[in-house]
Amino acid sequence: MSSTPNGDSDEQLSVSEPKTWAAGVPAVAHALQYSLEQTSPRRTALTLLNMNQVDGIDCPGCAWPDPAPGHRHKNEYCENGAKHINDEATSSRVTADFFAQHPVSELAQQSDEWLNRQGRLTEPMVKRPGSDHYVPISWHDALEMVATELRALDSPDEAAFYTSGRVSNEAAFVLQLFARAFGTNNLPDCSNLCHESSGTALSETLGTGKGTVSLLDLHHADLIFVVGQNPGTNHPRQLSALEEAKRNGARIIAVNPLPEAGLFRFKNPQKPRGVIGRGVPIADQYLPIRLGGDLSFFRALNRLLLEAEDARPGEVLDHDFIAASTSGFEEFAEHARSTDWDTVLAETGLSRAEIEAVRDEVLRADRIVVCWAMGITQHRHAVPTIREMVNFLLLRGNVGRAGAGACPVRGHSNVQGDRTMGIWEQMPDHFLDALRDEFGFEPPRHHGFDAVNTIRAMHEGRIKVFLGVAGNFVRATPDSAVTEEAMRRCRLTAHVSTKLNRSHTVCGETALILPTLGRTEIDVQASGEQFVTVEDSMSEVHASHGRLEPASRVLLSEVAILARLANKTVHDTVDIPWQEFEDDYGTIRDRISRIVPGFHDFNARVVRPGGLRLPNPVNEGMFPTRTGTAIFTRNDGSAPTAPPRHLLLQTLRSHDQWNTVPYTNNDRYRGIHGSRRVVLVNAEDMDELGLAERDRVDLVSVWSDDVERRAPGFEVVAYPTPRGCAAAYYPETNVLVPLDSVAEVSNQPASKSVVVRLETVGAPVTAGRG
Amino acid sequence: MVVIEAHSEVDVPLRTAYDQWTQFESFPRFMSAVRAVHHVSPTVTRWRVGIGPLHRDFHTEILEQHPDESLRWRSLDVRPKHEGEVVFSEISEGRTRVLVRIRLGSGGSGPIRGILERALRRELGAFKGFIQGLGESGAAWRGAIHEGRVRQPGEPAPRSPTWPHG
Repeated sequence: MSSTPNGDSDEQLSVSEPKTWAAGVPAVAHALQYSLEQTSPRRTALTLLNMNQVDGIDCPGCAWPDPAPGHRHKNEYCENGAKHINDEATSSRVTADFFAQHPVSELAQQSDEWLNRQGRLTEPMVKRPGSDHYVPISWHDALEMVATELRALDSPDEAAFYTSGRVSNEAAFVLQLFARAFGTNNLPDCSNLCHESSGTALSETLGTGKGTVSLLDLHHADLIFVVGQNPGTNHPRQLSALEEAKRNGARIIAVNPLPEAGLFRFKNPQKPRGVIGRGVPIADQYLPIRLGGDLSFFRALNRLLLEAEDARPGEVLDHDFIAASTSGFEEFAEHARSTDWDTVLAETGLSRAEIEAVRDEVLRADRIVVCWAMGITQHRHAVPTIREMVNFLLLRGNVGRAGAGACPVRGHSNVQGDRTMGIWEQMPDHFLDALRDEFGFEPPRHHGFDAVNTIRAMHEGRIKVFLGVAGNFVRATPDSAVTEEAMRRCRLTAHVSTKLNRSHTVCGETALILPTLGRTEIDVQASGEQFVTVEDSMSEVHASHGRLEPASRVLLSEVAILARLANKTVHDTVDIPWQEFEDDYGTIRDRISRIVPGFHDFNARVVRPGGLRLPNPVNEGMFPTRTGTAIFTRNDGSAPTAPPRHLLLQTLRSHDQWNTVPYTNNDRYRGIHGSRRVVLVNAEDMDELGLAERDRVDLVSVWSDDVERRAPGFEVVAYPTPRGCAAAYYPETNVLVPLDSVAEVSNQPASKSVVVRLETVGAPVTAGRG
Repeated sequence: MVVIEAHSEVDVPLRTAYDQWTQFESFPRFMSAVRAVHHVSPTVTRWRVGIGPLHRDFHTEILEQHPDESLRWRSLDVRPKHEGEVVFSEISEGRTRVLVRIRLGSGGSGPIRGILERALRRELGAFKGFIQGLGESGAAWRGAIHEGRVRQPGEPAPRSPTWPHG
């Protein structure tokens, strides 16, 4: 396969029927095929057999937790994790010669897949002002260059420090300490883009910004909701947990605009029935909800539960819990009873009978878990929707006890840990006070910029220096044209990266590539071999030990890069032992143990098999909210709508993709092969819009400003999504998401409710389904 | 449903007996069939029990826990399915009665019941020897649990980060 500039592939699109089951033998075959294409059998074996094992490598692929020590498989990973880890372990290298051959302007024309395929970055590179080439630079000069630019700023707030969820706890702690010692809280992170709405809603209603469940709770729930989430592709190991829950008798309800394969049947490749049998059915009920109809769905469900209580007083709601541990019930109930069925049916696209069937499932279940992901969080009314899901859980006391609770399923492996370490532009005073007391400087108290506001500030010239630690900021963020212009307006951009991506090619006047060790690699510092720690989606903190030789002898670890940069930048203003941190990561963990609640004896506890689990106040009988109780809320808000001859578009990722990095142009679960520039549309909508299969269209988004946002050259594919809804892959469609289109309160980009029109261009491509 | 029951009279104050019982991780020190106990959460524990080379893992959930009075639990896993309770009562100052009652979901009939009851008596006897030998409890968890949910006596500061996590 090859790609041509602009991301177009010379492959032809072919379409087959969407799959109705996930994993099985094909998952193993695809994982091994990709792994062996990237690196040797020996390195493949080293990575795979160490993945997610005690004393092994934590899979950077997702944040799903590992089973308890002693209960893990020898192959404790999924297809996508295997691909991701061997994508990092690749034997391909990007060297100085590569950059000599490829000017930045040419690299900027290449696809995400092509850039990623070039391999691991091997030495620091700089693009100087006016130049179109990256050239080698020493670590000393590179870091001196960044430090000099930072120190020359009129204000520390003219810099932003972005973090992606690959960053370890230790590096994240050093980064936020550096930013605050420098004098700013400008700490945008990838959380701003994926689960900010969850943290916002859960903090307000339960007093914790994290989910409340463990794997065990999932295993022992009676009923599990999987809402706005595609576990088969984005968290495949969750399917093992759902399989276990089914084995224990759980029922599962899937709520999703798309009939994703993993929602229906799972063939666990570690079990005989998953290899030669039919596997395990997952969803007992599937609700093909319209995009953004989830708030209406849960409001209707809550109304039905209140009415069921009216009919059977004392049998439906958990009155003891509501009376003892919650507030706001009466106002919530009054509001819920006013829920209008016509609105519910229009916004959800579901029938009343379907929702009543869900109510009946709920009434039969003593313990309920609600799981969700970005199908919920990336809507304008995401925060009210999650608050309404919390209302649903509170009604029958489904928090704070085994087998029940809230489960926001996070994507990147340490996205939760980075926030725990203080990567947030609005950290509370008690955390900043602890930093002050520990390190003897006064951290800034005014709030900094999140991801969206960082883009605005860069665009307006208020941020001049951008440092990105991991990730691919340009492709992860919305409104690509605006974001790229914003990056290009920076005086200096610098990225700590393992592989080439578009953020290196769309860069500031001066640009630096600071290549770093991957999590798979052995990290030796002055005190000896180091390990790092991460926190998964269920608050379990554990160690990750690199096992491979580094991709280059010149690479520095993330901690080393940040500690050296901090030392060069703030050595004369604060007295922080940056060199000690670089030499021995245990000294960082000592500091964390004194600053972050729950991390006492961190060094001792994290090396125990399985690490440590951070306590969740909800499970300890506490709701640290403004009332000291769990809070029922009254949630207004309507689902997004599209005017006539327009559709609501959700951006999503393909099965052969990890975050912003597509590995191939295939999405086999959805039956899409050979192209990513496809838009999935309901067949009746296609008829109404006068579109035929494979018509070539431009996607043009509609927003309240007069800016035209266009994603050109997509092929139309009929797909079983509800009327009025459509789907297309990101990051290609991020260009359509206006920067101002964000979730209320959380400021998270609303990438799942983009109003678009499809403009036909040229003649249909001739080919048929199958 | 089969019920097996045993009790023991231990020569320590009620509070000492109760406090020691809340330290589940210490059970392998005196119970021959218990290999390991791990606190998963305040209400959930993971147990490994076994005889010789055979062992079985299971989880239990504490449904009710009232300091110096009683605990009631249930197994979470399908097998071995059981419920149980332990009741503490003061016989006299410095002397406490510990009663354990276990309801088995299946099996446990006939001779098996007798074996299980003898094993339960033996383990309770081991507890008696253990706590009388110590003379005092180590650490203790004095919280309460009602309907599977922790009831905090006051409102202590959270022991974990509570700021929003995106």
